[in-house]
Amino acid sequence: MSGEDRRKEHVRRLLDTPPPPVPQELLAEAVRRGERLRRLRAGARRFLWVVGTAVVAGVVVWLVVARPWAAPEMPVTPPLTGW
Amino acid sequence: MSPGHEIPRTARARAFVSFAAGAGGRLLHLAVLLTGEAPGSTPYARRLLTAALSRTYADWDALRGDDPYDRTRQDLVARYARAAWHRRLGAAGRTRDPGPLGPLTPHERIAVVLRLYEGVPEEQAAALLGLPAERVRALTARASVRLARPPGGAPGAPEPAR
Repeated sequence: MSGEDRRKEHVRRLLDTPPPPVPQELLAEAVRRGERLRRLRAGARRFLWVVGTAVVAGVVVWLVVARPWAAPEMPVTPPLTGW
Repeated sequence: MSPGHEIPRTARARAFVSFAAGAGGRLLHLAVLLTGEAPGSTPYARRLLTAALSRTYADWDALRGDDPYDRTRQDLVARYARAAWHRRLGAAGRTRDPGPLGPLTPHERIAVVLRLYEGVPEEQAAALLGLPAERVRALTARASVRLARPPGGAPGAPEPAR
């Protein structure tokens, strides 16, 4: 066994102590905060959906009403020449 | 269970708690090793673990075959690394942490814990730390040397016979 392997083995033994018990309140707190994070994300997603849908609907309505691809109506009749 | 610590009885909460109750001890130990706190009082390690576990809970439905233990460990280490980076300026003159990895720097602690305690492959540990794999190998080796010869022992003193 090389010196490095021996040192690593020493560190492994140093770290390998029995793990402490997990406090029940830590789990409960993690679930509580995780649940809140989930609700926040769901809320943000819903909000984005609502905003996105509203924007799409608005653009469609505007397209139908304003017909921006049609040539604009002339405010005055073009001069009639050469007849 | 006291009334403030009720856990909801949804299928998600039940699955999560059965995972966390099993893996939590090892993860808490890992967190305590990183923070270097004395075994009796580990508020910082608990905060880290709570934050990492709550993230795993929130992602529970989207894990799609990912190991929740790996996820939580990754989040825990990333949180510790981020906090350590923010504290790095105040680190000079700090008293030594009492834990077994107390003499090490945050990066060395992460490398040692991932490589020697968790047995994570070098490449994966390197990706987590954002360092090249050779650097992780060097960090681990240097940390092992420092732990084998604790400060106070004369330089070049024989390693403790264990």
